Amino acid sequence: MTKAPTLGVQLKGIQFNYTLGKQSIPALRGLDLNLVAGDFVGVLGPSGSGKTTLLNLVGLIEPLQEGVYLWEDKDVRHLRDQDRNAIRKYEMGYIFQSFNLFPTLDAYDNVEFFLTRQNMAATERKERVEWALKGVNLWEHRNKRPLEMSGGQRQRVAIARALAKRPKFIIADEPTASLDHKTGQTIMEELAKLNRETQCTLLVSSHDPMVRGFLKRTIHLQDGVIGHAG
Amino acid sequence: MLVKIGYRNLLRNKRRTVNVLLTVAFGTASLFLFHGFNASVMDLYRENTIKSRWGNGQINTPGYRAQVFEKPWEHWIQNPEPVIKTLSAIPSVQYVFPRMEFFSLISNGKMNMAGRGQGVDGATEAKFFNNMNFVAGHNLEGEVDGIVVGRGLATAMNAKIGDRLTLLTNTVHSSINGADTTLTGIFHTGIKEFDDSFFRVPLKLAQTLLDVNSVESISLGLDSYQNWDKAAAEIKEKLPDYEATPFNVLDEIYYQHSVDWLKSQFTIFQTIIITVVILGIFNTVSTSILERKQEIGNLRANGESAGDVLAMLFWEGTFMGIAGGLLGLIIGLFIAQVLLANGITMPPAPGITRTFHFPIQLQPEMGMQTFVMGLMACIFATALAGFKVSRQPIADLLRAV
Repeated sequence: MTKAPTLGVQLKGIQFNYTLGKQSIPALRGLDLNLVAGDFVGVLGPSGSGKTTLLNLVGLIEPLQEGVYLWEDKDVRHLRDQDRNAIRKYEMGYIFQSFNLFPTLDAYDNVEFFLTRQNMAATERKERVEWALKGVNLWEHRNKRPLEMSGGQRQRVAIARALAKRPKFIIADEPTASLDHKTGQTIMEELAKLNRETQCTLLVSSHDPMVRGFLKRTIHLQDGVIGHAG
Repeated sequence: MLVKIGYRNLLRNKRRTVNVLLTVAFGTASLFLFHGFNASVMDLYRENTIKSRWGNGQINTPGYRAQVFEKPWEHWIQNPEPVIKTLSAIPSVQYVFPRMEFFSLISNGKMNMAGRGQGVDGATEAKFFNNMNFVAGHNLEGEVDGIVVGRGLATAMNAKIGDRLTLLTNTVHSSINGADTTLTGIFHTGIKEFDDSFFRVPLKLAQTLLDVNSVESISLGLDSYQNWDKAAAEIKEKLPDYEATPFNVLDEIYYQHSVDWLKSQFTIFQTIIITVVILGIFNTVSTSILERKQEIGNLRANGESAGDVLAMLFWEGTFMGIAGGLLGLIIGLFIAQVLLANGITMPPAPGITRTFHFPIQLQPEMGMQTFVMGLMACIFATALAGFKVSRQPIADLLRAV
């Protein structure tokens, strides 16, 4: 598989609050995190510990409220909207718990979609889609639409979609939460293989202890602060 | 690819898509039919005005129509023959009608009525003024002493075809003059003021009554009302001492005001229909977009801008607008050609006393106009529904259930 480019992500003193009516609820409280190329980091913790918020912040989905976030030595606070869009478009891949596939497109088109949006040449798109779908063993199912596939297959399409972009960084938010244990294991194996073979940096959140065995290091979040790292 | 997704999204919830399509289709069909109906009304008003009284326009001496004179005949066209000859030579001019109007008492021996007379070339006018609607007898056809009167005037005098009617008037030299005429026709233009007081006699008889050789005006019958501007330009060039006035200015009160009124009414109806269509589409599309918040969040998370998301929705709106608009045109055509093939009978319009029969006149340019309106309404409503969602924070979109 093709190697992903190197990546440097630094977060320092990150605080994030949600506002509910007049109440401000802290989700992250003074969090520090460094990610380097080839990392496979798991963010573990119970529901409500701030895992998704952290992933969304790192993925430039949530705005930075307090603290410093350097994306390849660039302070994201100074990035324009179109720069953030470009990072998300070309350098990041996302895998969501609920897959978020386009129900009207088949597996092939789902994987191809964001490549098309990168204005990639048709031949390269085709090569990448085939590579990604074969990588997750779904090439035979490329003409199926999401509703014709099992949960595990759908999540593998989502992985292939993220993979096909050949991003520096993939963020996977609870990728096994909607799946049974065995399928979840298969998905984690796919992600570990991806990390091994492409040196793509992966940040995965989960509250499932099963995922630990696949990770290079873990961060335990508890009430918005890092409990311990391993 | 956004176009493909936009198209495919239409097939996700067929019932909802059908709802939007029908909203656009019936909106477009309503506008199309209303356009057609309105065009028919306008045409009929125009034809009625031109062919019952005024012709396509009228020639007078300059400023004659704008002023009131103590002795108006001094400002009439004194030597009409060369003017008539010049006018007849203009290619779009088919008929030339020298005329004069005068006040007169009209008597049948039992009662006297005040009336307004027109001296006309009856035989020529009969060929063009076919909207005078003769309810009894016929138009003047060259009778030397013939007279045709409006229905209101005839009813008031209890006059019947063949009755002898005497006209009493003043000559331009202020002496009393009179003439006996024979009633040949009773007309009903539908314009009450005209039907209640007007009568027509041969021009020669009118000139004798007033003791003049001049004519007050020369009306024109053109091959098409659309050629007026061209004809007027030629008249200005060849007859600079005269003034040409189109029928819509001559009959501003009845025709132009009615047309302006109908146009305003049409604009109001059109606005209401478009608003209803936009609200209907907005409602349906909003539901559809709210259900796809996560998907939109995914698009945004993967680097698509709010504008890109709107572009996808734009394509959805465009597809629905095109399909709905075309369906609307087909529905409109079907209603006009099959269900309303015989047109619509309408009660008398403002200022008119007779009913009218209106065919629905569907024209290609109207079809194009209403199709574009339906399409634009659909795109606008879709963009309106998608605007807020496309600008929501991405995390909120992804969290949406």
